[in-house]
Amino acid sequence: MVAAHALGPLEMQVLGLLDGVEPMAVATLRDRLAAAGHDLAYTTVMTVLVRLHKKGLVQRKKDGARYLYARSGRAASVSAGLLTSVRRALFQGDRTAPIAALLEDESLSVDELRGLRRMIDDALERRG
Amino acid sequence: MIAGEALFEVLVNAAVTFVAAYLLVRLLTARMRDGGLRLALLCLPFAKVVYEVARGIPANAFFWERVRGVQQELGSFLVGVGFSRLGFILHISFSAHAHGQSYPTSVADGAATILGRRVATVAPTVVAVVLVLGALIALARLLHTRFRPAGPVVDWRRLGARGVRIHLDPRDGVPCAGGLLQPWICVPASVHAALSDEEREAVIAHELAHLRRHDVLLLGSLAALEAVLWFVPFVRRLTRAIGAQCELRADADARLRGVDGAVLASALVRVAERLSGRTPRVALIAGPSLLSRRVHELLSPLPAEGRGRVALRFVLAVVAATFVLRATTFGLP
Repeated sequence: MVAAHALGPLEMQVLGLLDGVEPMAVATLRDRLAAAGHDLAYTTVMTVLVRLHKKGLVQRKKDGARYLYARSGRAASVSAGLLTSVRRALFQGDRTAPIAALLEDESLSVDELRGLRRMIDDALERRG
Repeated sequence: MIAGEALFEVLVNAAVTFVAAYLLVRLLTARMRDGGLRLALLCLPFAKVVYEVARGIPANAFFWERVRGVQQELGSFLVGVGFSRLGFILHISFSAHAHGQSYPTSVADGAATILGRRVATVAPTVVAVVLVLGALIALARLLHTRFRPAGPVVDWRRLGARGVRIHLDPRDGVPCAGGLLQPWICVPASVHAALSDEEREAVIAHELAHLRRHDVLLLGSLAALEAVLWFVPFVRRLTRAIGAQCELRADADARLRGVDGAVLASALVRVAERLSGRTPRVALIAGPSLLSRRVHELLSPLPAEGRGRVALRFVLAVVAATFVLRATTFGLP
């Protein structure tokens, strides 16, 4: 049995989206994740599904040139212990702000960005 | 119980000290030029708090009499401004008088007395335990969610005697630097593709500047202190101000090493445009953003300063630092 703490938040979310639905392709799952606020690359979603498949939590079947993924029976036995639930509640969030990032996370208006872009383009033109 | 009261005394005095030092430092640096000296002064409130917590409660403080059951008979308030060999001194403190003796006391003493009388005798201990638990949880969260580089190493740069790995990260985000013993730079693949060769080199030069100036150690330590001082006002605001100085200095450092300011500015705005397009935001607060400040600095000529002016600014910064570190403001002297 795979314990819940062996699964990351994204893996748990993918399993949740596959619960009780028809088998779906990677592209469809990516769209469902984007609708849930996780705009991820196709390859990232594919990597998660491959990992879940290796753990035996999803099964896949070929559909022409692509695979369709569905939850396996084993996924239902993933248990969430009390400590795991507490840990998830306290330490939720896999989107971290790096220490020395190029840009701070700040609200920027479109007008401000356009104004800065114009200034920079003028400076680059003068530079030649 | 005494341990709990002592913890309350130290934590509340740390908060008061930080706020007072923050206000002093903001006042002193209001018209100061961006740069290393301003950065050093902005870090002083943290340095002062660390010193006071490490020092603990002085042996002559009224706290030790209070926990032995001595009642304060009279209180006095002292405001002093003066000069010493090391510069200005500011002294705003309380004293407690009992049995003909005078003892320094603090805001924490007053708060503990009020809590003890009006709530419960154990109230200061309970508050101290809550503050410490909050700090431990915040620290654990910080460690748990710390950023780790991902993706293949696509390049390598020399930084002194060390090598810096450059990762091409498949995840979305902004370029960043990290690693103390094994430094790295992480560039998201999407950003890598969006920038020109010149812009990419400018971004890498900026991140190398962070590593060269040990910003990772500074900002990492401040992040830990911010977690521990979660209950103190203005902590987050000050760490952001320090972060802004680090960014401006890294921009200047990159330019001094040959990067074209306009190219680096273009890279910054291109990354910001990508972030803005992905999650549209509206600037609710009027006023220039840090990005705007950085672009203006990057498009301006590099300032040339005479040695005389640099020396004068250094002396003034040392005087200001001494003033802040020696100030007693409602804490224990």
